[in-house]
Amino acid sequence: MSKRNFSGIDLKDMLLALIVPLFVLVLWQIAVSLQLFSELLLIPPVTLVKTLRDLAHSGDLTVNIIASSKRVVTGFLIGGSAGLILGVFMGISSFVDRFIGPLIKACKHVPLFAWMPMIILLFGIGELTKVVFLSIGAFFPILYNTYQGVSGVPKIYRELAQVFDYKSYRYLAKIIIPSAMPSIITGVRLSFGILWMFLVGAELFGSEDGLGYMMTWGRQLFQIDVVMAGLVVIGFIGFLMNYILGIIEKHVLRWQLSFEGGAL
Amino acid sequence: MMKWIKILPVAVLLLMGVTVVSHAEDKPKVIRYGFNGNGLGRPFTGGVGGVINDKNLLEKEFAKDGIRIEKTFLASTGPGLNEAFASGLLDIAGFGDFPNIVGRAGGLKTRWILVGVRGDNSRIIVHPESNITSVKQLKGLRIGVAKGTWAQLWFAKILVVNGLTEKDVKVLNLKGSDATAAFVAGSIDAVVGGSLSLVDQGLAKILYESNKDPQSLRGRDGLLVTEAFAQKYPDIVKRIVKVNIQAAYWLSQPQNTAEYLRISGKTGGVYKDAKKDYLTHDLKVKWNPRLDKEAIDHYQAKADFCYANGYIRNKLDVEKWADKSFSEAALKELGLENYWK
Repeated sequence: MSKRNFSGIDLKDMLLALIVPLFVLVLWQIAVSLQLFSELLLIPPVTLVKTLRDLAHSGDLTVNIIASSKRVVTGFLIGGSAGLILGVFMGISSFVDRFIGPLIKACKHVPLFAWMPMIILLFGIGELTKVVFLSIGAFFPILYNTYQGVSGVPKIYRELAQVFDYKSYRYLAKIIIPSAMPSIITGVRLSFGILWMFLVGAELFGSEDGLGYMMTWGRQLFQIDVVMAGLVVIGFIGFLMNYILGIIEKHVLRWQLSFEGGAL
Repeated sequence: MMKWIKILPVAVLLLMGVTVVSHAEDKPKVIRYGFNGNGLGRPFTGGVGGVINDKNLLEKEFAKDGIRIEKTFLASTGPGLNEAFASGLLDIAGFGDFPNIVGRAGGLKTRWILVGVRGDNSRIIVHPESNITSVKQLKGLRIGVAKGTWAQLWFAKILVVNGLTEKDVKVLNLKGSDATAAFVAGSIDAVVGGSLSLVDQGLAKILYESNKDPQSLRGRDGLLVTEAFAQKYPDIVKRIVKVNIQAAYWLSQPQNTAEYLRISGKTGGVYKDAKKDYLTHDLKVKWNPRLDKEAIDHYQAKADFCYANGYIRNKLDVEKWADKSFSEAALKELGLENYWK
């Protein structure tokens, strides 16, 4: 039996997951040593570590992480809430689904960056633009997964609600939301992943702070180490967030795992 | 295992398409020439580069040698040209002082071989109804600047002269049409180097312009060549420099002003006072390409300013970076050694 840490993550899995990054690190160092690319573009790992340390010491990293996190969280809360509410309504009401579903489904296929010119025209280039952009990014994954989860609630659960004579609030709280929760959480995880990916794009336009801004500014000043430091930090935060959401998912869905005989 | 270690670098080389260039040739098959470009991404530019491009002077010079000229115009302008140098995609390029300095301080192996323009004019535009009458009043306002370009360095120095720094204003990285759109939409209060066609249309007014500023404050540009290309093809570099000097000489003649304004207007920067504005310059001074003491001191002062303000992380010795050999030889061959003193 494999050893598990406090969050239930298999230690063997964790070690296994480190193999590829280590391999990439070794390849990277080989490429630098063989000067396959200009050292100015592919900076050595040691330089990257030094840059990360310098950025952390100067406080720049903290300021930019906080600025970006605020945007991501705000975008998630606005876009995610709208997606959740609409997804529930579309899932439980076939009228709402038929009424608004086609438009939503059409919009879903518009690439996120294609919204940008329209957003800039409507909202200018301030903070609101970035939040709107990220909200759209958060909206669709949560809407789609909530809709899938709610519309997929087994008929027997709905009949059960009728037997217990659950009215709207209890029907939602006791039957619909718990049943759709696995799908909603998948949407939340997808949504956060997308938001961190599009953050750089959101902060490209008229920003004064944020990790995307830091990377763009590093590029303009030909400081490629700063660009790579930004990539590493965004990747690490994205990974950390996914990891934390994984723990929350396990905690929230523990009833389901117990019910299905899964081990915690 | 050892076999794999030997094969891996070769495979990576092949995959990445790295071109191994023969060192035996006495002339290149192609000269990869970077022009300043413009934020609109059009294949035109102003200044010496604009004339060279419009009149195909490089093509004419190297046609008899069968050398092809590969021209690069990047919408990302100077910062983009630095990246192109680092990627080994360019041999030679003319662009603004700030990215010139940033690239070299960042480790690009280039030589500064010619001055492009001395003291180009730049401006800050504000909304027509704005009450702002001085640079000092920009404190706390949102300003659109094409960051990393010479315009940013010009603005940073103007702020210092007025008792401010970039930290006192909200500098937003916007260029070309993005800056114009943001300005017209009212999202920003001012644009550095803003489009004067907006002034013509009554959508903006000029807050500040550098026409009356001393040379030390004004924007410049320079021609850079990679160390490798200069070492391998010194005669070719001298001929390129010669073409640049011929274009600079042509520009310094007032009778060519109308034609030059037609050339520079192709970048999209047409405005009604272009000629009046252009003729405020002493053309002989403006287009003096010589790497003289004044030019070197000017770049050194700017490099020191960049270091002091954290734009570059290494000090730059401009005297060591500048290579006068090509320009002095070319000036002599053209009989212009006494034209610009």
